[in-house]
Amino acid sequence: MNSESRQAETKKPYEAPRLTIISLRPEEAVLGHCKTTTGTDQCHTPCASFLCVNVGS
Amino acid sequence: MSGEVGQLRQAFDQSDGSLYLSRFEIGGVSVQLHGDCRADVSLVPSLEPFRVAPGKADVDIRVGWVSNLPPATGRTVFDSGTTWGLSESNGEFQFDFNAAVFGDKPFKRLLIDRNFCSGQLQMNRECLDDFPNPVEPLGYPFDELLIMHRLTQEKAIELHGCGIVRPDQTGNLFVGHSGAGKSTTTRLWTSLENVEVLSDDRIIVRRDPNCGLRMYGTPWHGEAMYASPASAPLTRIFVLEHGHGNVITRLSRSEAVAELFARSFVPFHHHAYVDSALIFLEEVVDAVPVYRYAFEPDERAVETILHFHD
Repeated sequence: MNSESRQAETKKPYEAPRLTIISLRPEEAVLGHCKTTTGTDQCHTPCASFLCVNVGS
Repeated sequence: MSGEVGQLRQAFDQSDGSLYLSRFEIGGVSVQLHGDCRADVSLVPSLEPFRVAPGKADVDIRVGWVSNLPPATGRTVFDSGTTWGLSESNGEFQFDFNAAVFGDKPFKRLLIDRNFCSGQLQMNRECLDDFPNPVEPLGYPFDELLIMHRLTQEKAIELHGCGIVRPDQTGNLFVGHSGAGKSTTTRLWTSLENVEVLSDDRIIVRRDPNCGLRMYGTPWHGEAMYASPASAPLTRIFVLEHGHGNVITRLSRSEAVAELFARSFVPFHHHAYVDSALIFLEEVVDAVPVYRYAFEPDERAVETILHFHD
């Protein structure tokens, strides 16, 4: 068996490129939610009247 | 001279003449506040566990008060659509912080150099003098924004995830979007194992000065409220998603970088920051294995990982 046919045997079958779409979450990435309110902490920002939401992910 | 006063005096001698100093460290980044009164350099409660003694810092912030803050005149770089916006002028960045109660007037403004080393935080008397509650200069999201931007200058990144360290020092990082199960995972592990939780929502990963990668807890916790200043070697990363059974699948290099990037906190407003984040994430996935973890929220999800080998 010559080297060319050995190469052909070991060569991986062609696989077409696949496109995978990964979703970003811009609303999470911009740090828009207040994370200061906890069970023991006082909220020290003036935004409570309009934006204070639960902590968490 | 008492320890605290001594430390203050020493730091004062090294500083710009500010009377009060406080310093905190998150994810290996130290920030020192300089101010003329104690309240200006006070740390919000969530930052207290991250307080360190005054000294040399990566970022120095001078806190002061101004009678008013004129509207930003520089080029608008980014509008978060929520409480902060960023503009650029004369080679420095200007972060304006807003609240609906004050209308269009920013209640505070951070002016900082492009390397995020030195800045001034200006508190607006026009807004805050008559405000009924004291406003902490470092109130969220100031602290996280500052650290997130500073990390662009270092080999490090902030990820949306929970960091759990087993007694044998195996450090598992579970990343996930909101609702993916970070807090649930944290609760399951703490109920079944003697583990240390660095954070249940935000972890900073950086090069370990000795070898490999290290993950650090942050103050910005999730529903389970774990926020530790500790750190641990990073062993592996799981991308969390809800599924049937508990199935672990190794991700390819490109899939891993993309999935981590989608769960990272990176300033998207400059190409250079995005580029450096992607380059660092390549280093991360070359250094530690990354898996997709489709799990069901019960104790078997923990057992599956306990019996798992790379």
